[in-house]
Amino acid sequence: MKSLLLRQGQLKALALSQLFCLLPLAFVLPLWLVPFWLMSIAWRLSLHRFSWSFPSTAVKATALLLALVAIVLSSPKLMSVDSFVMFFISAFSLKLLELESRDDGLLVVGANFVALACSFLYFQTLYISVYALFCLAFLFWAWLAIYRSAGLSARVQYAHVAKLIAVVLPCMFLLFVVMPRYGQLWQMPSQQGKAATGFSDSMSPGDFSELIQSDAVAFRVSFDAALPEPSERYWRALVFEEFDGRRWSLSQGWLSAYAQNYATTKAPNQWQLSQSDKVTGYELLLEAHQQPWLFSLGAPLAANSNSLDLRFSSALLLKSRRPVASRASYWVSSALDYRYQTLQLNSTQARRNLRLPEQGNEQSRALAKELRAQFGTGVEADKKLINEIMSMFNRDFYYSLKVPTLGPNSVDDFIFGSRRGFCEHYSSSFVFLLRAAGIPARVVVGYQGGQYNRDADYLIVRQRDAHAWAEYWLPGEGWLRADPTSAVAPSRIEQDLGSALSADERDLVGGLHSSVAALMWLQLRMDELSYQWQKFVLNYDSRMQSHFLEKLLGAATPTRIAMFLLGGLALILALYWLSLFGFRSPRRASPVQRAYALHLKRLAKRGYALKRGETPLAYAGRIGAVQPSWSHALLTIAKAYNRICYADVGAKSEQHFISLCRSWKPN
Amino acid sequence: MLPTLTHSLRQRFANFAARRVQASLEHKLTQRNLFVFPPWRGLGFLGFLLALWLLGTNYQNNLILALSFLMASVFVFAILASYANMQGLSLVYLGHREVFAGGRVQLKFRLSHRRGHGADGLELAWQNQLDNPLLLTLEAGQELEFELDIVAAKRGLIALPPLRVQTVYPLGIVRCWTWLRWSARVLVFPKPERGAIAQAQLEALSGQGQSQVTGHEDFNGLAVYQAGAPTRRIAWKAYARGRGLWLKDFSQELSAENWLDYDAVQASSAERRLSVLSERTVVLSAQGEAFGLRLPGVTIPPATGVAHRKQCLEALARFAPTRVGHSG
Repeated sequence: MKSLLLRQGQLKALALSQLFCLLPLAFVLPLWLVPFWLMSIAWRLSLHRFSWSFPSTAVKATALLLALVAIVLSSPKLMSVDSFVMFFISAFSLKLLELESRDDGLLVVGANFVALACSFLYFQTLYISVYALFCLAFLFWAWLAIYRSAGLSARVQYAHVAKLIAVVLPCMFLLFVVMPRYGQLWQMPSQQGKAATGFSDSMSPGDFSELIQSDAVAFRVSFDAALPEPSERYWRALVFEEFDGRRWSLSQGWLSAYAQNYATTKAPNQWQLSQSDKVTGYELLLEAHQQPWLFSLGAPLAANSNSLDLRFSSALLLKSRRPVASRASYWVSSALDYRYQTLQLNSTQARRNLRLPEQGNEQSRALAKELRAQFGTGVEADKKLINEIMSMFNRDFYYSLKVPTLGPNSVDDFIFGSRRGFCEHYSSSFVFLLRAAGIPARVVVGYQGGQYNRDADYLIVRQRDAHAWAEYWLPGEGWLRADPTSAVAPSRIEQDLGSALSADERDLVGGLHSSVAALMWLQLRMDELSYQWQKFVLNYDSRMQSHFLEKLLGAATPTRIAMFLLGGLALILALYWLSLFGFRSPRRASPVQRAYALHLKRLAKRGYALKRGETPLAYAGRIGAVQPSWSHALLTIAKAYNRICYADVGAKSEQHFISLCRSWKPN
Repeated sequence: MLPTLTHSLRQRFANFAARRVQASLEHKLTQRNLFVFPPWRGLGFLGFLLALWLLGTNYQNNLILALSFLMASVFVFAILASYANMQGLSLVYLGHREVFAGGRVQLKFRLSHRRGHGADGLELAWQNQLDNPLLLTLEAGQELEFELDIVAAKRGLIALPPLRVQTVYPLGIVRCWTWLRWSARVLVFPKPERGAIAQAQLEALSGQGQSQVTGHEDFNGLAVYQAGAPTRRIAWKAYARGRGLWLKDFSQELSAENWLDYDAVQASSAERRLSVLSERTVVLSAQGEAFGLRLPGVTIPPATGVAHRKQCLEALARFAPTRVGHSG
């Protein structure tokens, strides 16, 4: 059957709902899509007004070709989510050009659902969800408009939408809670449009300065027990062992999938870990940073995750097998007090952690030699040497984000020149000096600190908490942490970045909140809301699900879950059905009609049913002929009924009629 | 392959549906005779849903999953809503207008709802012309009388084809429908065609040999009014005097009887003869002239009026010519 054509009003409703559904994508995708869509919809809507014709196949083919070229040009990687989403949007924009029938309209509705899903790929906040609900209400309105007859009042239309939402939302919640979750079924192309956030896999002078000004959340943590002290909150992510005179980077191949990884949920034995029983467990909710590394405190002993494929890696690090492309959570148990590789460093490791470029930074090398000569050799001498460097930093250096550009000999320029800097400068020059003095050392990057939300009991770690520090190895002691920044600005570690800076530099750092108390309070509340949203909605996985269902149903057996689901759905649908048919009879008869109906019913019981189309008088006459004794009463009632129905009589005669009907019984 | 498969499935379903719906003059739509299934575009919607579920699962994205669950809920809603739109409706066959072979017969129905609900987006179509449905909207608390037509190809009794009543309201992704079978039959009159009837024979048959030349002014008196009498015979003067409706009676019309005789028709085939007789019946009735009809085995004495006309046309419609003899 040929599908019916859409009216202009229906077209406009569909176009508007599509505009709303596509809007979030306009913020993440190339801008050429906006005029592309606008032109398509404008053309289609103008057909009616200017009596244009539908575009020819040649026009559509050209437009499609243009779109394909634009997609290829504007996406750096062809097989990425972005290019698929772009293709999808341009294809549906072109479909608008031939939007004609109800079936086409339904296709637009489907496309709008997909458009919303695509924006969920990029945004998953509470706000986008509220916005999506608004879009859905609008979409339902446009959808219902396709199939209903014209000329329905706006109030009835809204009532239809409200009814649909009232049925659909509870069903959705039920399905959301109960439907089983599966892990990734197959590898999907990554999202190119999402830039990696946080630090990268290398560190050159100045890299951190931009990061430190960002207020964006890196991750949130809730601890099983007490919150560790600020000085314990070193979130390790990467270890930089290679240095080229300016740039610190990962050791070769650490990022590759073939690197030495231990696919276990427990710390591998190779780590030679000895720890005290100071162990803390915490759940970390990580924002997608598009990188494979993960964050943990101290030495991770055990870890697991439902959404990530966790690996224990060398240097007490955790990583995910694939870059973290969507918000993920994992649970870790860490030892805060531990010894690691106390006995010996293997030769490769020792060589790697002592290696310096052949040339450059000669002044610093000389300083290291001088210090070595001053303190002699041995573990105790090493400790003294390290203390001396720390006190040098404390004495002569300033913590500042305003740093002059450093030349090729960045360490020399810093130690003997500017003497102002922040974590990256201190850790970098500290490790350089130690290596030059013959102590194995490396740079560690991650985050330090975090803002504690007391009411909701969790820690927010932001990009501005990004930090770089150092680790060095001493025989018999193993790897030890040293934070040269703390020597310069202890308040950076104990409090936060803002407090470590002078008043005039504080403005450089993101976060107005630290100065205005009310704003800070508001910001914390907002973050709390979005944390709960992420924890309980975005992060609702099979583990949380079985936990929740167990609490709800007593035991999460398949039978009980199925009963719960079907029972819930049946209840919702039954309520809907009752709202249609059950609550009240739509046409309530008047008292007069009910009285007359009673009269008819009594007669029908005696075998004198009213025939179809028989008037009251004819009926009374017919029965009166058979039952002469009733004749008078029947005719009185019939005449009175006619008078009430067809003449304007008062309430008094209506009352009289009602009592007449009730009192007279055929006998 | 696919078309044959769908065709055979359709056939099976039609048989199944036919068993569930008895032929009748009146149908109530209940769970016994209503069927619900998504049409192709509904299956397409399920495809979108599944695609979103896969996307959400693969990206571990709960919001996309929630959206796919929402679409599933919408689908369930659509099943219930489209069924609720049809349930409780009743459709009564009221009768048909007269029809001659080769025309279309208008069949009259009444649509109402048992509890006074409305119904939107109803599509009614005969099985043999599904492409061109009648679209109906029933307002709440109202009854709706409407006409549907079918082709009357040949004279005689024809049966009504099964009627499909369906709706995709409110969302277009689920279809609720029923096949209604009707016990009513339509009697199709022979197609009127001009032709000659042998005059001599007619006169001979009239038995009185009177001239057909008529004098309309031979006024004989007033006769009781009969419904359907031609207006020019009404005694308007009497009516104007407030004496009610009377007919002017012309003596010659009573005496000069026209006999329409099957055997007197000069035509090649039996159907053709019936067509000529049909045409004469219609014309003479329109002129208000009395005539009689004589078919082999059937004789209708001369008379005028609507009932007479109907009787004659029905006799013509039902007439079954025997092969031997009457092929004049």
